[in-house]
Amino acid sequence: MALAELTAADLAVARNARRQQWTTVLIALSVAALALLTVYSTLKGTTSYSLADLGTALHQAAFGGELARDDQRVANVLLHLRLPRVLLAIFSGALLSLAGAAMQGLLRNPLVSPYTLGLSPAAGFGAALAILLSQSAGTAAGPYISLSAIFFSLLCSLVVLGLASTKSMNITVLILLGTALTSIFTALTAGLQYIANDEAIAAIARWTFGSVNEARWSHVVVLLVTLVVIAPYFMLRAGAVNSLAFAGDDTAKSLGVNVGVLRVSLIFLAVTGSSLVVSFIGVVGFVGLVGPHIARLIVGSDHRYLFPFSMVTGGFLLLLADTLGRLVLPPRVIPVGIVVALVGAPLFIYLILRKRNAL
Amino acid sequence: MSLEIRNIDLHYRKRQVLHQISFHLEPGEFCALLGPNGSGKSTLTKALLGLAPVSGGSVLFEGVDLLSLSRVERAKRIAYVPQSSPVPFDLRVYDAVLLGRSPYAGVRYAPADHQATLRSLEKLGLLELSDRYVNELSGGQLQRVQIARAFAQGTRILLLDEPTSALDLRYQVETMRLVREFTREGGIALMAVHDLNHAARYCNRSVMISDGHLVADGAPGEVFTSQTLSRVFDFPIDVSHGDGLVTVRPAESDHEIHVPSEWPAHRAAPRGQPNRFVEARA
Amino acid sequence: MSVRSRLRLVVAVTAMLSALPAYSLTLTDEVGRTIELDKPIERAVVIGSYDLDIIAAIGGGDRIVGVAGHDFEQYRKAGAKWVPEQTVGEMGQINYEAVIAADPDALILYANGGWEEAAKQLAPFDIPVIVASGWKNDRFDENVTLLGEAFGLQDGAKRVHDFRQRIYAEIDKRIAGKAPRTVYYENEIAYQTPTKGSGFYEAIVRGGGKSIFEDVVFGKDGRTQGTVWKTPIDAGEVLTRDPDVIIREFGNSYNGSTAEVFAAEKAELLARPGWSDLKAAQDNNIYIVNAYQLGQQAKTLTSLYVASWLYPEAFADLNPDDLTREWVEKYLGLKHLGGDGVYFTRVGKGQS
Repeated sequence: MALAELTAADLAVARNARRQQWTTVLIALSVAALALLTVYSTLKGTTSYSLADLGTALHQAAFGGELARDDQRVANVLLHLRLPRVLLAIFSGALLSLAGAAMQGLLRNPLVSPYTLGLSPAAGFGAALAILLSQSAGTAAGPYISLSAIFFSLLCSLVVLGLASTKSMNITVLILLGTALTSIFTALTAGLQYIANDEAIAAIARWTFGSVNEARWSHVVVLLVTLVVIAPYFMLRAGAVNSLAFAGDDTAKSLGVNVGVLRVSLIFLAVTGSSLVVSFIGVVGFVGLVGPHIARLIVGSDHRYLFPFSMVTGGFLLLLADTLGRLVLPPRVIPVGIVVALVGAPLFIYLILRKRNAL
Repeated sequence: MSLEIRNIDLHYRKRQVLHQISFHLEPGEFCALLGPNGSGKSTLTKALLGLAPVSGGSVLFEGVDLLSLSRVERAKRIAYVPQSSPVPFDLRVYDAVLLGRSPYAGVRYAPADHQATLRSLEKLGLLELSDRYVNELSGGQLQRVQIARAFAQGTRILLLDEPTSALDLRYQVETMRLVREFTREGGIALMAVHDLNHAARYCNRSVMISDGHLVADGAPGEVFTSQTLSRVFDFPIDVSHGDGLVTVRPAESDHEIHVPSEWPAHRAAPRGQPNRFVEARA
Repeated sequence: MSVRSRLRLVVAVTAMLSALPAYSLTLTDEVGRTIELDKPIERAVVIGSYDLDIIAAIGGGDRIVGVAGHDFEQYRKAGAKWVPEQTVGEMGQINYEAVIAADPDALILYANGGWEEAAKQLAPFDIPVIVASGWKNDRFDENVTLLGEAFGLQDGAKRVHDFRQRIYAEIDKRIAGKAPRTVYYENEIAYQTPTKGSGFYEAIVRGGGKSIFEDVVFGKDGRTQGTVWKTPIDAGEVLTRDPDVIIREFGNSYNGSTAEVFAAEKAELLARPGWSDLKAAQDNNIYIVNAYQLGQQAKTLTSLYVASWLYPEAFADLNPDDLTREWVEKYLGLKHLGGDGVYFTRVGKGQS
């Protein structure tokens, strides 16, 4: 009998070790796939370029030097249009997906995301309002768009989570509140079009469907810095999120987790990160929802793996969608928001249907 | 080495919910926390875990006040088993039990954490299930996983909040036996429970709470009397002693015990005077 | 000649030119930006059909090397020789790579075409962005002048100015002293009308009409703000205010609308509650319009047709179609398909 128990324990240990190895391999493979897609998307487009062209461009960016006019134009397209666009898609997807994974764990529900809680439409409204006000004041909208987007998403999350907490964070309440807030902010954004002029209307309309067509290096840098700052904190708290997500508030507290601080700090960072994304590329739905789910299917729900892997899947998803949007009807550019919605909404429905427990 | 609960007061929105709760538990004691719904059982459990802030009192264990410890330090001394509730994500049994080691782990788990997890899985007969997802398990199996997690936490004290309420008889009995086993090995367990017969059968200690006051404290064989239970639950209850077992059942009309409605236990004993229903423990 | 050798030639010519005393052209565009050109535009990417029309009209049509996909489809129907490779995405989703591949001297687009983003994206490529909203009636003359200078086609610009003045003179001569007649203009969506601040509203006023919804004003300077070209109004007010003429805009294509489309629109309008009793229905004064032709010259042609519909007796000696034909054939260089039955039709209760 002792032998049998020992064997079972050994087997459990072996299985666990094998699973961890497999997870590591999967993450390595996925990162490699993302890297390949990144290179492919950078080279492929209305005009396609070679790896050598990319090498020349990067060499010039790093070390300077003169290029023939023809080569210079290729280098400029790669450096000023392709790379910022590709990187903006990756970082935006990574941030939205990380935010989604964190919110799902913190609210103990796999169906919440910055989009389903109405935060993205709220950020979109904030951006639209900033455009409108800065145009009537005759100032540049730039940074105000981001600040206003962040402000309104935080406000929206306060309202949704505050109201939902009076109903003990019931998921039906959360989703319905998210739907209500989405309607309110969509309506407010539409309402702005009655008091905006043509230029503001056109600028606001570009927020309706997210697009990385106007990618700038400054956007890329801001999102990269944001990721570098907040992702390690998410990683550090992944174990605590595990306790909260899997065992609930009381048990997590009994396991030593300061649930209040954990929830508020991570949701604040998640909301801030995703509204920064919205202020740069507009409203993109479903990445924050579907990204974490794909990650969960591959590496499981352990947030120590789920957080980094969600960033990979989110970045991959958005980059893939944008690459499709560029390549399917060239030279037309289909906004990434449309492609993601077309792919993401059916996935969302599938996820609802396959869930073992009802909502 | 005993767990001393001293003069716990707790207010919720200006209303006093717990009044001067005091008792102490020795290693080896499996104590049933009894009382009708709304009496303050769950609040007391949460207070002892540090989940609900007390307005006065202390919980001493090994010379330190658990309530003044940091969350993590407290988590190394006292573990909690809630009512079983569904887990919203795919989580393997092994990882669910490993969560019990989180007070000890930083970003990574140490080999000692995995050993503790394995011991706990083994003890609860969950090794075969360790690769299964918890949301595929039956209610009883899920409850065993929660107990395994609490065991893996490696504490001397175990608090359980009605862990058997959603289980069928077999798993109820199994849970009671597991906790009794824990106390027989020197642990201290306090379990909020509704089933008086199970409390009488498996616990060697019981405290009763009514309206936020401690109204009875002693071994079930001594405290479970028809009068005390009827008063605490405000409902006629028969108690019979036979075969060394205490059996509790609702009184039927042919031998109903009249309970005066103006006779709640704590009001019968004015403050400051010894409560005659609280039996002194030697 | 290969692309590379052609480029070398361009480089060489540019080098020679830059050695000469610099030809420098400083322009101020519609949004007040200053643009420096070192030579008149020889290659232009143009986003927006109104700007395409102006550039074609001043004689620069063959210098357009890139257009939006939507405009490409329209002009292909009209016989333009552009190839699909010359399309550069759509307004709001410009394919900057395609713009750069077209190697233009400038990108020209509307104020509401996302010029700020375009200017940022194209800055590293030294492609200037010129903002000119060809659809803006009140900016038409300035924008024609601006584009005339940018392309070095000042004579062409003057011809366009003169033609437009001629049209307005014809209108003014005929509507002078007439009591304004009332118009209800509806575009695409039922019970939405252009209000003060929109080009169509002003075009109707310029044609001697008076909108029955001239009292709809919210915003600054006595103008309506926002989506002024389709402000929703109370359906009942159309019956109460009983306009002399109703103009229903539906469709926007070089090919015009088919008889079936006009018939279906007529049936829909007359089936609306109370509409068959309206004065305009009784007098056959409902016009169903395909916006393509009437919208041209920043809706100058709309004013012309509206005036002729409001005061037909004053236009006995002038068929608006003749002026339109001259614009389309002489200025745009396209085939004129006609007027009545192609781009509009007159319907009413009395017809049936």
